Amino acid sequence: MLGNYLKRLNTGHAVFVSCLIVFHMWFLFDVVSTASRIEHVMFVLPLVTAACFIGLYILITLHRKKKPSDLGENHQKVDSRIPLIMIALCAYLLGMVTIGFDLSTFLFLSCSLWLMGERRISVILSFSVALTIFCVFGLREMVSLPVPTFLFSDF
Amino acid sequence: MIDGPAFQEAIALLSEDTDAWAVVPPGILIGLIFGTIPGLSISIGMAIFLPLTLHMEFLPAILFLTAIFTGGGFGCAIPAILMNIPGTSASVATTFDGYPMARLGKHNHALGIALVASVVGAGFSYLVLLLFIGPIANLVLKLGPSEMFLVSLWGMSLIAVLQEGFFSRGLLAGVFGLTLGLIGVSDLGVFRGTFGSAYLFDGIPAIPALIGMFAASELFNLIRDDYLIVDEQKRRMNLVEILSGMKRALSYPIVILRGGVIGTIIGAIPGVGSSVANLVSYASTKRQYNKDKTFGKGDERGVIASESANSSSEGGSMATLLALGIPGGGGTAIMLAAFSAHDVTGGPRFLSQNTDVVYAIILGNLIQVGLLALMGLAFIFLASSIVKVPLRFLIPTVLVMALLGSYAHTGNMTGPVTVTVFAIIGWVMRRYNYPVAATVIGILLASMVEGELLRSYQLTSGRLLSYIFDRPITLLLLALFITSLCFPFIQKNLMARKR
Repeated sequence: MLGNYLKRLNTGHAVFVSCLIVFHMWFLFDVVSTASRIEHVMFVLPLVTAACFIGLYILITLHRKKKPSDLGENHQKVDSRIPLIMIALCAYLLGMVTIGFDLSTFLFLSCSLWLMGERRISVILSFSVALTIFCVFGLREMVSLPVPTFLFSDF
Repeated sequence: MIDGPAFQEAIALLSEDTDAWAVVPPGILIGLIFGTIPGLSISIGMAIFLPLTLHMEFLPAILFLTAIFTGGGFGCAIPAILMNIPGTSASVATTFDGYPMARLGKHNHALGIALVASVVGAGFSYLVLLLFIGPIANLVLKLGPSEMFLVSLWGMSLIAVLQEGFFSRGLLAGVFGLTLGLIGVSDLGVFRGTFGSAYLFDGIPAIPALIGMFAASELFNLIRDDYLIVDEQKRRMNLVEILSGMKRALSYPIVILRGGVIGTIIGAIPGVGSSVANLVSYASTKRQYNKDKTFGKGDERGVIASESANSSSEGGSMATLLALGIPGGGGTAIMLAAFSAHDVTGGPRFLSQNTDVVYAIILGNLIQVGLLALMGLAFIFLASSIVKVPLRFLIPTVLVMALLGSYAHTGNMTGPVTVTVFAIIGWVMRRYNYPVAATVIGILLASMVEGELLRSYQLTSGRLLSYIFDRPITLLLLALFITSLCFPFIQKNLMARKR
């Protein structure tokens, strides 16, 4: 019975719902471990209980509907560039604090333009430089916050 | 009703003070720009220009800030329609039908509709404010924590209901948002779900989460396409279509009026106002007109309902600011700061002793709304050219602006990190058809929902039930909340019976 259920289950969706359930349970334990007075859990406990029940209901009913349209899911194959852009975005974040906003913005723009299909080097470079100057130095002028940069630190 | 002599003095004040009018057009333009750029918000625009108001007299200063507020209120609709990025939570419902309209090549039409709905909605709310500022303020004072708790929950439940066919997913997304919104230090001073990181002590920043979930996650899905609008013929800027959209909006007076009423009433509730008003208006319009199942696929009435409600919520939030001195959100909080910078304290005394100034502010806002119609038309004509930009340039640009804008919003790396994390979560949620809007609204309202529940519990010394049964407004809101939760099941049963 469990084997049949697992065969028909959309694994990605099931993993996502299971992660939500685990997150909610972890959150409840985190709250209870810090303070367990009624005031601390009077909203969290019903919320987590509801999340677990709804999550389990979704997991149970997931295998009943066989057609993708019944599930309301996007069954298009994931474009290989999506995870690459996500990785580039994460690298950009890391770069902002390590090599500065300007250089990391320039590198992210160049990489993502190339990933998106732009192959003219002159366009990639000029667009990335122009937008980096406009965004990073514009931000620096507009807000009174430290904006770490690699070049032109006294700009 | 209107105090005649004070009204005449207000007109005199406005006609004598030329400075008050000189600052309005730049204010509207600043609002439009800040509302349109993803990552920047009306509050940021108002905060940046707040120091400038210190050199102005009180009336021009407030009119300048309200002009930014008014311009930004509509400006947020532009990225919501063109790129599925709601500038603030107030334009979440605009994305539901505005973005599908843009994808169908009806972006000019949708922007024209949004402009008129915003102008008429905001105009209506300021007119109501002019007539009933006192009663509105008294009504807000009658709302206790139990009512605020239920209004917030009601707003949340509406998104789950709007998720047609997948009610459970809508609910789970909403509950997930509420839980995420509880991360950080609680009202009772307890650290929850912070992983020990100081960056999470203040909780998850809502605006970066909103940008990540709506904008960045949608941009990932657009990678396959070359342009926002596939058909080249439909990409052109077309003033005639914008004007026809404006005209079209006026053919739905009931939808605009209902949005105006809902926005003005709910907008007056501090904290939840504009976030909930657009959803309530959208849900009620959808319930009435969705016989052909066109909502969510580019129905113009959806855009009208949302825009008229979020613009009219401006008037509602101004009512509580002027009559009670309570800011309803970020924008009105900055106005309150401008009040105190000019040694003015908003509240009942200000309303009774400076009625002429209050009327002048409201009348000034009414005129600003008229100006918005003209300036907004010129602005959307230019803004709609964004659909001509190839996505290979647009996607990296918007991602960079979203990350840098969120850095400006939070003042540290929490913003950019939040955008990235929520972009990935949002993309997964969209893939499995979970409404990201429910999660975002959950994050926004969680601490308020919990705080109001806690206050109700403490006020009643634990006797919550008897307290609820003593308050008719709470009972009414409870009935609305339960009805909205049960509505999908009732509708399903009725349709099954019909068949």
